[in-house]
Amino acid sequence: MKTPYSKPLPVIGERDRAYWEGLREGEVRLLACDDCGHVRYESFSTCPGCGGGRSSRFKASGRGTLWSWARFHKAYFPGFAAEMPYVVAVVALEEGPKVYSNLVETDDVPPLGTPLEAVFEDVAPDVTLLKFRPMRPRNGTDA
Amino acid sequence: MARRFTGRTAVAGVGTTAYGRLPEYDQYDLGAWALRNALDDAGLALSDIDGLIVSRIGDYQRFGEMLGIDPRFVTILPGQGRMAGVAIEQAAMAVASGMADVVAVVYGNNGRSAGDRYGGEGDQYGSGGAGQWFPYGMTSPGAMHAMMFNRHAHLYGTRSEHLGEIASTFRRHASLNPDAVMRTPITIEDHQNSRFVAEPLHLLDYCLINDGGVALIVTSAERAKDCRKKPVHIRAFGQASSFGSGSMPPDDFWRAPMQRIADHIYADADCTRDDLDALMIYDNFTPTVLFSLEGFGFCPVGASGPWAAEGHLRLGSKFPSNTSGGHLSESYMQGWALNVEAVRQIRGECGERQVNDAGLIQYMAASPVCTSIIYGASPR
Repeated sequence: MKTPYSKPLPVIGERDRAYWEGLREGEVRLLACDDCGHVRYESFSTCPGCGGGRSSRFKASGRGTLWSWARFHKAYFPGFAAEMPYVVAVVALEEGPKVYSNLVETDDVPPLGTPLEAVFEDVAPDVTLLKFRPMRPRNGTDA
Repeated sequence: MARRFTGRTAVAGVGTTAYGRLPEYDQYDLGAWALRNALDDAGLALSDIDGLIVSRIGDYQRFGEMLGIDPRFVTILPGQGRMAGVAIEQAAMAVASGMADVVAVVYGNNGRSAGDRYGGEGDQYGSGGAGQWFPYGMTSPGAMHAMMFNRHAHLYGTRSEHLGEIASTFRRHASLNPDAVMRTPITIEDHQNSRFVAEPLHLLDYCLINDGGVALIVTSAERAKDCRKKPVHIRAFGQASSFGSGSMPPDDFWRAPMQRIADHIYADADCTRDDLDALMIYDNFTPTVLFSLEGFGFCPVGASGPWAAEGHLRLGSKFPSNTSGGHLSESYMQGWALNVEAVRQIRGECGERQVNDAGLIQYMAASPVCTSIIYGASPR
């Protein structure tokens, strides 16, 4: 029997609902400024690049690199206690923004700079989290 | 710019409480206790105060009511360590502008008794943006600094042992400070053997959450001459922010804002780095010390680890730093007590940990709001 999901869940507001719906559908939807093109993760109403007030969601590549990480040996959240120690990664997305995430499908933390790709993990009926695994060689292109 | 305030203001009094577990005192009590000591230190009375800046104390009005004072100038700053420098600088600006003559700058922190954890559900680090990352298990400023250190190590080869040098140096200083919470000397090996909290940071890379209060009395250089102790002049100060990285670790370890301050503060204070007799470096976590040394230009970018390991921060060396033991070993008074230590060193009140002829000391804090203050025995 599956144990109930006990980790913290995101509080999804109107402003970032489209982001979470994107994850649900297997896409990373970032915001790009309609005026200057600056890409952001945060669902701000205003573009930090130019101060503009209009922006649109677009489908990002889902690729990034491992920027840094920390391994938690302290259980700040009871829901993570069973996985101690656990790793939180900082992933620099190809489009610029950074996100905190977890690494999957790898036993060790790979070196910083390792290319990563998105994995969409359904954790609750309306919540999918954005996780990352080391990039796999594409069919036909690996030596 | 800040240069027009140069040398016009001084710290006339400083006060601290005991540090540790003080459950019978709240933030207001701790602030008032520190303020009484600061006023006594300056030879001033509550009735002399016409400016009040509080931080971490929940409500300025309640604090004023409790003290029975009605100052002209009042403001309150959030209870973040980055605000210690901001508060003292605002006091200097208020005095230099004529808005107030005697400003009490007061901080009270009952974090230990209140059970503050700086991580988990209540975490607000990163301007309240922290909560969105809880689903991934991300929380706490300590973890963010661990990630920054990991990145620094990747880029420059910095090692955990370099952090151990900082932790053990500040502990040795604390062993000479009767007010410090942690006074038993540690070795780099002890540091390496202490448990991980957010790896690669060990327990001994973390500051000490405690209860305590700190207050300073800032007034004009002229008026300070008539106070009980010799004035400690605010020679120069600066601020610069860097908000672009939001709740994420910054790419440059806050180097750019620190460089913006360094670009003018030494000229404003009419000194060079080499003239400084001691440094007070915001040390919420050991890596912050390294980032500060690079940001303010005490060593080349990327070289702070090996540079610190050469022992430059030790008492008796070129730049004795955090002579009280700092946040790591005295108590996490969020920058406030480091400023008091600078004042006490310049007055020659530091007993066994006294720096010989300390005449110029720089406080510096690396965070999304960087601040620095250079204190001097003379105004110029």
